Amino acid sequence: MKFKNLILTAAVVFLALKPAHALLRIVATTPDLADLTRQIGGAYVKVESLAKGTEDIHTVPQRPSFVPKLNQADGLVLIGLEAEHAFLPALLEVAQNANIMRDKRGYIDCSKYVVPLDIPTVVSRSEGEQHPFGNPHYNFDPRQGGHMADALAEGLSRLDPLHATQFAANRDNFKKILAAKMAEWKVLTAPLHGKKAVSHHPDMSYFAEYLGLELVGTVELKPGIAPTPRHLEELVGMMKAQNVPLIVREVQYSEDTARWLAEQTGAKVATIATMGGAFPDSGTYFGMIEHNIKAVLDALK
Amino acid sequence: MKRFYFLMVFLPLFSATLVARAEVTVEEVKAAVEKDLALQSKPTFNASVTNPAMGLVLDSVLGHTTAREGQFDFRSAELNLSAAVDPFATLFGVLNGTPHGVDVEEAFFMTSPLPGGLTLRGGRMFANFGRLPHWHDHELPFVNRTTSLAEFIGNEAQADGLEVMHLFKTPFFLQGTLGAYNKLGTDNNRLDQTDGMGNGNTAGRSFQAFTYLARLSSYLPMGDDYGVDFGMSESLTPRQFYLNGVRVDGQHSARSLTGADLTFRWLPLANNVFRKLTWASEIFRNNELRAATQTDPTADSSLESYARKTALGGYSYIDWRFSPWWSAGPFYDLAEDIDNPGKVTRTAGYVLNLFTSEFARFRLQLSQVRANDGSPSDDQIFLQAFLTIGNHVHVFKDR
Repeated sequence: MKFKNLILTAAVVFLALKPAHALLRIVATTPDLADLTRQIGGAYVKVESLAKGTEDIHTVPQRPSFVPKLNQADGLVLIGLEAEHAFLPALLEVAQNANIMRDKRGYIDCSKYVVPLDIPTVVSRSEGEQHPFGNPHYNFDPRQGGHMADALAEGLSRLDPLHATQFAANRDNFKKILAAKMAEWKVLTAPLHGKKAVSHHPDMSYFAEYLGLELVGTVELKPGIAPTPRHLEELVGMMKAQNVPLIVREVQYSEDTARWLAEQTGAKVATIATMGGAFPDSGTYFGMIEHNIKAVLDALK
Repeated sequence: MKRFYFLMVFLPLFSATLVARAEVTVEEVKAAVEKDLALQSKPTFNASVTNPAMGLVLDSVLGHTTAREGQFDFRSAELNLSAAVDPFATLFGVLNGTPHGVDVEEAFFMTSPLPGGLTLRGGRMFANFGRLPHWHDHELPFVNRTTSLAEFIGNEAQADGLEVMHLFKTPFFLQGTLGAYNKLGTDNNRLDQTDGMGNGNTAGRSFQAFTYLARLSSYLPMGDDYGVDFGMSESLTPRQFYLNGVRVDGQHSARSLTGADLTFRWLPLANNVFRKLTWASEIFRNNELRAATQTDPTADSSLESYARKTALGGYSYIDWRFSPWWSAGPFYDLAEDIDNPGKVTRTAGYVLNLFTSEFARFRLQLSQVRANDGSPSDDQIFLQAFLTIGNHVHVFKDR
């Protein structure tokens, strides 16, 4: 009798502890995507991020600790456009989760509704490490936030159709907040229109277009190719000739090179995040964009 | 008359172009170009779209050693192919052209994830034994496969057979592999089923004469910047009927090859584009019946010709990436003679790598081999070029 009571009690406790709905386990490749997923998924998702904000998305190591996360995930949220080529395909191969393989139900590619910039007309490694489908660094351009939210709501609804209405409502709410913030940022960033800038890696296309900055060069010789002394010399000459006032240093790249370039040219350095979580104030999607805008504005004060 | 028709056609076209030039704005041209680019990016029918992904790797060395003097060595041109067969499997092929001919280094299928967290590989592949044994030559952290890898493994861990991998449902990374093969090791001729005189069963072998593999590997994260990979491998051949190329019956002649590998990594979250360090070590233990020598005190007198020998070998190296262009580090290899475990070959060296991109690496290596036979040490200098075109993948197990 005692044993029967024990079983009954255990069953009641178990049922009481079990959540009314199972949370979707989502793995996002970057912290900003993780934050966006939380905003759209709300109470129905449990999200983890793979990369940390200070890393370079193209060189994130294939950490074995990522494998169990991917193995047990219901969905995978990624930047797409081959941004994660260095680590994601290999990890997916070993993670043995058919649901999150490319183009499967749980594969949520946030670039789905993004119109890519910089699609190369000539694909050749003589042009560096190109992205044949276009520039993948759209995630810190607020104009793309709505597109990303659309892809996310659609992907989460695929995984949990019962809460599709909630995801759509969260998406609409996110878009409202984004629109309000963009209105503020428009006023703030107006003085940046037409200013010239160089960045370390050609990852500023979307954000620069949004800010109205004119990109005139990169520290890298070609995408993914470290600068040679001659290239840096030419870059200094060009920046001086064109009176370029801004160097954008993505946080994952060398501080020394940016500082040296600034000393040579008199340009100011803005250190930005290409992923959320790179700085204490850039843990969220909005935080990341606000940090980047402030960094550029502060540099050009 | 012809000229008249020509003018009749050409002039209106020319004038239309002029008009068009005058009317088209920069924005319209830009929009047209963007539209054109967008159209180009749309998939269209192309008979070659189902071709496999391809890549070619060149490995070439200029070396000077005390033993061989100077030499330009074209080492290999490796053609890699891979593509999905159907929704259930992918096929991989590695064809290796060397001065000695063209060889199928790997050709195997790998299934899509199977129920129970299983993946199956079959065909000719580099078996999942240890760490460096399944790396291709050009991916190694040193120019030549070291003595321990050459002697204990038989160079690459090439194997014809079947392998099943399982990812355990644990909160940490834990992967297991079981395999069955004809043999393990490209240059391992222990199990070639012939006595070298044309005698012997060349057609097959009993299940006892297959080589079986078991491997467990895991990873211990140590904060955000550090981590340790570790693994244990055991390759067992229950009965080797052919010892040193000669059939030997009526003896328990199992061969056991055990490996333990440990890789420490420093991968800082900040600036990891050009700052990282790998310190990897691997130990091998070989235990099998070998030809006894007169000086061998362990020789079993009842067997007269053979004795069970246990030999140890291994390597350790450090690769320190200290700039976008450069990495460097020392390596050390130690290998007991499998037949005379007391005799040790030692190799030590230093490597400097120049990376012009992810797809090209140039290496300078200074090394010294002190052979176990008492011969003078072999002082070596190598310049190696490694370049790759086409498809290039970052494989998890070869990281």
